[in-house]
Amino acid sequence: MDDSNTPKPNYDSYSKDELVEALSTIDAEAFPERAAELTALIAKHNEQAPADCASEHADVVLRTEQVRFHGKTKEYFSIWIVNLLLSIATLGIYSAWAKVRTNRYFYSNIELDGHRFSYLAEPLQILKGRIIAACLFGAYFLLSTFSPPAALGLVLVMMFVSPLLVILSMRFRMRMTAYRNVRFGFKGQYGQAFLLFVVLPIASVFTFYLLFPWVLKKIDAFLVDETRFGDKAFTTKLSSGEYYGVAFGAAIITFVMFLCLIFLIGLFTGTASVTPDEGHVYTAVMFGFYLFVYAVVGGYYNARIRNYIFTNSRLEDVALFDSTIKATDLILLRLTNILATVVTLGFAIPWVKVRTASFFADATQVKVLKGFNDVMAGEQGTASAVSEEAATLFDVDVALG
Amino acid sequence: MQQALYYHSGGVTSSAATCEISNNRLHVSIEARSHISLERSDISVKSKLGDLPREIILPDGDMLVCPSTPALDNWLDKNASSVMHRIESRASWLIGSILLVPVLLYCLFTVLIPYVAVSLGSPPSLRGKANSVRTYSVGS
Repeated sequence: MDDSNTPKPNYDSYSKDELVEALSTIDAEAFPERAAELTALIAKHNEQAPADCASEHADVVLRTEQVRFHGKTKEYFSIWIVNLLLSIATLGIYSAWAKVRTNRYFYSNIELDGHRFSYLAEPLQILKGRIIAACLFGAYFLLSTFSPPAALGLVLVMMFVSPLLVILSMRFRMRMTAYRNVRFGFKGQYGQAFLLFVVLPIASVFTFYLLFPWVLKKIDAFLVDETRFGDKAFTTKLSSGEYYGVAFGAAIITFVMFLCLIFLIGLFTGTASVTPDEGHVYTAVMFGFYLFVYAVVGGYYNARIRNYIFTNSRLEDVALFDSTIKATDLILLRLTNILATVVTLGFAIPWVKVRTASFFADATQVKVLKGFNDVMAGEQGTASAVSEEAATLFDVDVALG
Repeated sequence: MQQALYYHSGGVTSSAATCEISNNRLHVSIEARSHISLERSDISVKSKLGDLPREIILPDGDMLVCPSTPALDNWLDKNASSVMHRIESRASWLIGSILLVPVLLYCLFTVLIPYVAVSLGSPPSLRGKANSVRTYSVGS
């Protein structure tokens, strides 16, 4: 038994060297339990040491790089306004060319570690996707007018086709993005996409959307895990708890904001009936309020989830990521963006897009790992490679926007 | 002589380079060790956009990224026209676009879309009447 008259030190706070020194100086006969505790703690340190070394060896961080965005509002405004004019004048056909010029401008102005990203798509590939999307939309519109049962049939067909469109679009977007002459890629398969984008969202309805945060987590994990940079794969480890926490926070914010709205409406109208003219005002107020709620709740959710995904994702042996967005800053950005767009009748859109890109770039850091220079082009090929016709046949970005 | 970046195909490796236009050829010096001389027809390049650096694709898949300079832009764009960049750079086009966009949008939403909607939505016997409704709505 130890001598109880001497106060026992807190060995847990000792470093390994301090423990060794304490063991060498302690009177083991007078304090056998303390000597045993010291021996056990030293053994524990020895067990941990190899694991720490292995971890450090796996992630040798060469440097931490800040993502930078070099775009200028004035420069982009001239591209945007000409794009808009020609898109309207050609009834939307030029929008494919406009999209390529816009994406080229934004991708090529993003710099990481002294190198810029590239957007490689050709306008005809975009136009092909737009025609498919327009045909699907037109078919649904016509069928719902002339034959509602047939429209319902088309919706059912689309339910099965939409995961395929998601996969094709993601694959296209990744293949058309390059960094340092190496393309990104996407390997997602239809079966998993069908489960994540159709089955689970429908299943979550029957759980009163209690399952939905978990579904969102699964979708995010799928999108990250199936993405490639050259021959290297992105991986992520996401926790459902974080998604449920953020979703709960977003629900509370929404509830409180609507409670405030109801209180304000009651305060201003009282028990008096609303005239038709006042009804229009209330409709406009409600629309503005929905935009406000969207900006606040969307900003909160996106900031928290983006930070979480970036912090928990990695490109094997190549890079670690960090995102430091403050929810309040993103909310403020979105509110001012909406306000500027409305007040200027849309002419502030270039300013909105450039400042948003700058905002996200400023909040993103990348830790470059030791294996970065080992990245090979892989099966995606180099950015400059002319893909075979068979490989590009299904390269479509199915979207109207 | 401009500082540039030379990206080797097949991986992420890159080298510091310099590029220069002389005798109607692009001369590239890679880390002052190897030198390449290229004709315009040897390379492919996308149209000029803003002040973005020019991405020049070489025949073997390597890529050269050079800052945009008047001499390089002239040499790269002498055959393939860079009409869009010229339009985007001229103040007259920009002012014209700013004025024309609202006018075209107004015409689209008050004339074209209602006309198409009425034409598609009404039987031929009612089109004359529908067109008069359209005229009334435009006039008001």
